Order: sequence, then structure tokens, then C-alpha cells
Amino acid sequence: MDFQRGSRHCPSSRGPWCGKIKLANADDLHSYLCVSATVIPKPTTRWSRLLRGAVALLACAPAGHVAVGRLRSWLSFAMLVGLWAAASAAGLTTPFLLPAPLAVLETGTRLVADGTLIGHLAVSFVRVAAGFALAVLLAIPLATIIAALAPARALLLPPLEFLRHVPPLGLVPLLILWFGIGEASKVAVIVLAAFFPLFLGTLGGITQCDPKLIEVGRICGFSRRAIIGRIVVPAATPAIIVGLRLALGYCWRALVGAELIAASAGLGFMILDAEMLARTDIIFVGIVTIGLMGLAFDTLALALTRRLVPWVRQELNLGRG
Amino acid sequence: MAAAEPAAFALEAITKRYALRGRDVLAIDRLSLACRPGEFVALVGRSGCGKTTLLRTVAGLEQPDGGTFRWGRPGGRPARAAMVFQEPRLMPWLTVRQNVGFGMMDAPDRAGVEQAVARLLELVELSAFADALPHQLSGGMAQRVALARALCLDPDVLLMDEPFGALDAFTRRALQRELVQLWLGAERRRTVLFVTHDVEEAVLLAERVLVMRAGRLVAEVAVPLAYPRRPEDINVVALRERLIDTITESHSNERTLQ
Ligand SMILES: Nc1ncnc2c1ncn2[C@@H]1O[C@H](COP(=O)(O)OP(=O)(O)O)[C@@H](O)[C@H]1O
Ligand SMILES: [Mg+2]
Repeated sequence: MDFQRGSRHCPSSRGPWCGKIKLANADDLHSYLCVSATVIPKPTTRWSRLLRGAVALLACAPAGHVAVGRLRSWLSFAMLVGLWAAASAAGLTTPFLLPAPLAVLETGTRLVADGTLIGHLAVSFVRVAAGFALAVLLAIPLATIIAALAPARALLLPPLEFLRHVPPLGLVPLLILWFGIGEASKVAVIVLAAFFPLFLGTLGGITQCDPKLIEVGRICGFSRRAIIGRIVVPAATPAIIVGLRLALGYCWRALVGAELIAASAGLGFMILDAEMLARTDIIFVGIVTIGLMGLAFDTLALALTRRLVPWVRQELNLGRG
Repeated sequence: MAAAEPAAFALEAITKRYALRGRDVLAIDRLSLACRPGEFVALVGRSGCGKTTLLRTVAGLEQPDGGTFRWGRPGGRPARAAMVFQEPRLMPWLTVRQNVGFGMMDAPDRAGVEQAVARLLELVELSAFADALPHQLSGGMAQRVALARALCLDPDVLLMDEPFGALDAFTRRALQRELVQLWLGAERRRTVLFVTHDVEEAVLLAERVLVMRAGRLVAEVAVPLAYPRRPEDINVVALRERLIDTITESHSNERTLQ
């Protein structure tokens, strides 16, 4: 937004917003925009007071307090949806391009009720689960072998480096030729997408293993294999988990991409189908579902991380604040 | 030193070089040393004189560029050599209990190892922290865990590289006493090679103090005092001063002990 910081000008009186806004809404918008530019105006309306409080909470609440932190992340969502609702209510948007949140919610409820959404979600979920599991089984052992054995490194790393730079979606046509139009090609795309974050995370974690810890293993008289299993791999778990989290996100993205190109079920297909039917509300339901699933996965992964690697810090703490 | 005397281990004219940015660093220079079984030997010297390198060579972590190293036993290898490093080097993902038993993971007698771990935890006064993770320990506690881990290997030779260097004076004193107790308690079965740059520590702990400089042994002082020794003991003070004199003296005096 390119209005001047701290300007008392109402941006709505000029620019693209002009003419479409009723005064009360313009005031609201003004206070939001000004707030977002870190200038907090005098609380004139109830709306602006609310926003002011919200921003104050977001910006100033003591960090590290769990409840406040959680409230904060919900608040940032609520503000986004609020803005969306306000824009829709103000008639700033065409329902065809950007349906109101309530309309999306209604469609979502209907799609859940008639089983459509759950069906597509289940199809996508199974694909991700299968692809992700395969990628884990491939990438982690392969990275371990490559890190431990110089000949394997020399042989396998260059072709893998080459493949890494080919986006998985670019391979979809080829994968369809090879694996057919069915499930196998979709799973293959997901494996490709998840493989490299996992592989590189593991490889990085293993090669970064503190040689001082390895020396402890040598003093204990451990074999090379025991040193890898008991010291190197455990030491690499934090990096592997980062790889897992990245891979989950990549999986999900690649899946929807693949389903957009060729599928007869799944969230990506649902979105594409809705586009054909000009049902923007369904597209939004799809987008929100994808986002929510991603969030759910990551929350789960974080919770698992806390359980599995309690010795690794989750947050940077610079003190104060 | 009489060549016929049985030794726990012996180094003969050991040389170790490092290439440091193209420059050749002679970390150990034709050094010979033999330790009797059960002897407590301290190695002192300024930092950079090669103490760590010498210890790592004995531990088998470095291959010497020249000379020979041998274990005193006829078979060639001791039952076990353990090392306590300058840092605790605990596995951050294992509990204190698991860290102490780390080197005995392959031992068939699980119950025996568990017992030994419990006994060692009591010895280093960390039983209450058996299930804590290393990041929950203070530096002194972590170093005690490292000591317990080394002892759990039931080593014939215990190699210690400035193990108490990073600790506060109180903890250090307590651990020094504990170490002497442990060594005496094991009927002096264990040979200890203890590296330190603290001359007083060397006099308090060792039967024999070796002074190292620029990769060579330059002096040797016997400490014929009974344990436990106290730092304010007149004999300890006298020996400490003599050693400090020796170390400073050896700067001008190039005579070596080979
Ligand atoms: N890994 C290494 N690479 C290069 N030089 C080393 C290495 N380790 C030790 N040195 C050199 O060897 C010399 C002796 O080091 P060290 O044995 O660590 O001394 P001390 O333990 O007595 O302080 C020093 O000059 C040091 O720079
Ligand atoms: Mg050193």
C-alpha cells in the first residue's frame, strides 16, 4: 500500500477504492489500513477500537506465553477473514471472483454433508500417505549410504543432483506415460517431490555430525556400522525432521498439481472441476481445505518433534521480549 | 627408566606432524614415555605443546608419523582404554543413565551393566539425575557423567584431557578428590594419564608429573606424598613451586629427558 505512513488522509477518498465505499465502511477501512501501517489512529468507531486492541495484542503481548501466542495466531487469521468479510460486505468484490466467507462456509458444509469433500480429501490423503511413506523409505537409507560410502557418493550423487533440478510437475507427462493415468503416476509425483527435502535433510544432518561424538564411539570400540547407527543417525534426527516437515509440504503441493493435470478424484480435481463449472465457492473450499490439511500436518509434525527430539530447541530465544 | 620394567603402555620416539595452512607443525617430536601399570601420571605444559595430541595417540585416535606405540600386555592390546575429553561430549538424545552405559551397549550381561551404571551414578552423585537429558545438566554434572561413562568401560588405562579445566574451583576440587578415591578404590588397577595445565592439580593427583614443551618431555618430577593431599600442605606447595620453576626454567634450558 503506497499511502504515506501516518498520513491523516483517508486513502479511500482517492485511488482505486474511490466511489465504491460508503462512509462508515471507508472509516473502518481507513483505520485498518492505517493500523496496518503501524500508525494507530484515535479510536473513533467500535470497529477501529477492536482492531486497535487486536493489533496491540499481536504486537505487544509478552512472547513465549503459550495462551497468548495461540490467541495471537488465531487472531491473525480472524483479522484476515474479517477483512475478507468486510470487503465482500462492502461490495468491493464480485462474488464470482471472490465469494464471501459465509458463502464459502455454506458450500463447505454442504460438500461435507453430502460426502463430496471427504471423498476427495480421502483420495488425496491416501496418495500423499503412500507417496510420503515411499519417499521416506527411499530417501533416508539412501542418504545414509551415500554419506557413509564414498563410492556410492561418487556414483549416485551426480544423477541425483541432476534430477533434483527437474520440478516433479514437469515430469507428470512422462510419469503418466510410464505409470499410466491411475494412482501410480500420482504417487510417483509425490515421491519425487518428497524425496529431495528428505534426502538432503538426512545427508546434511549426517555429514554435519559432530566428529567429537564420533570419537566417543571410537573410544568405546564401536564398529563403523555401530557408530553410524548409534551416533551419526541419532545426531542427524533434527535435520531429518526438518526434511520431513519440508517434504510434507512439498508432497501436498505436488499432489494438488498432479491432480490438476490428470485425475478423476482428489482435491486438485475438485478444484479443476469447480473451475469448469465456474463455482468459485467450491474452489475456495478446496483451497481452504488444502491449507488446513497442511497446517494440521505441520502441527502434528511439530508435536511429534517435541516428543521425539526433546533435546532440540523449537524456538530461538534471544532473551527479553 | 629401565627398559625391562613392565609397562601399561609405552611410546618410543613418537613423532606426529600436522599440516597447518601449508606449514608443517611438529606436534610431538620423537617423544618416548612408559607408564607402569596402575600408575597415576600427570602431564603438564603450556597450551599448544602437544599434550592433547599425545593423549589422542595413546587412545588410538591419531596415527603417529614415526616411532612405535605398544600396549604393555603380551597380546598387544589392553582390555580397554577409556578417555575423558576436555568437553563432556555426551549424546544429547540419551539420558544420563544411557550415556553412562553408552560404551557397554554390546555387553551381553545387561543386568550387570545396569548395576554398574547405577553404582557409578551413585559414585558421581548423580543418581537423582539418572533420567535427565544432558541439556538439563550443569557443566560440572555433565563432566561427571563423562567420567562415569569412561569408568563404565572398566578401563585398564584411563586417559584424561584437562577434564576439569572448564569447571569452577569448588566442583573441580570435589571431582579431583573423587577421582583419587576412585583410583585408590580400584586398588590402583587403573593406569591414569592425566593432562592438565594446572600444576597444583598435577601435584594433588599424580605420583609422577611430566613436563612437556614443544612436543617433547623436558622434565619429570616424582610426587612421593600420601593421599589424600591438601593444596595447603607444605610439601604440596613446595613441589608445586618446584614444578613451576622447572617449567619456566626449561624455557632457557634445552636439556631434555629422553
Ligand atoms: N587437527 C590438527 N590440525 C592441525 N594442527 C593441529 C591439530 N591438532 C593439533 N594441532 C597442532 O598441534 C600442536 C599441539 O596441539 P595440542 O596437542 O592440542 O596441544 P595442547 O593440548 O598441549 O594444548 C599445536 O600447535 C596445534 O596447533
Ligand atoms: Mg589440549
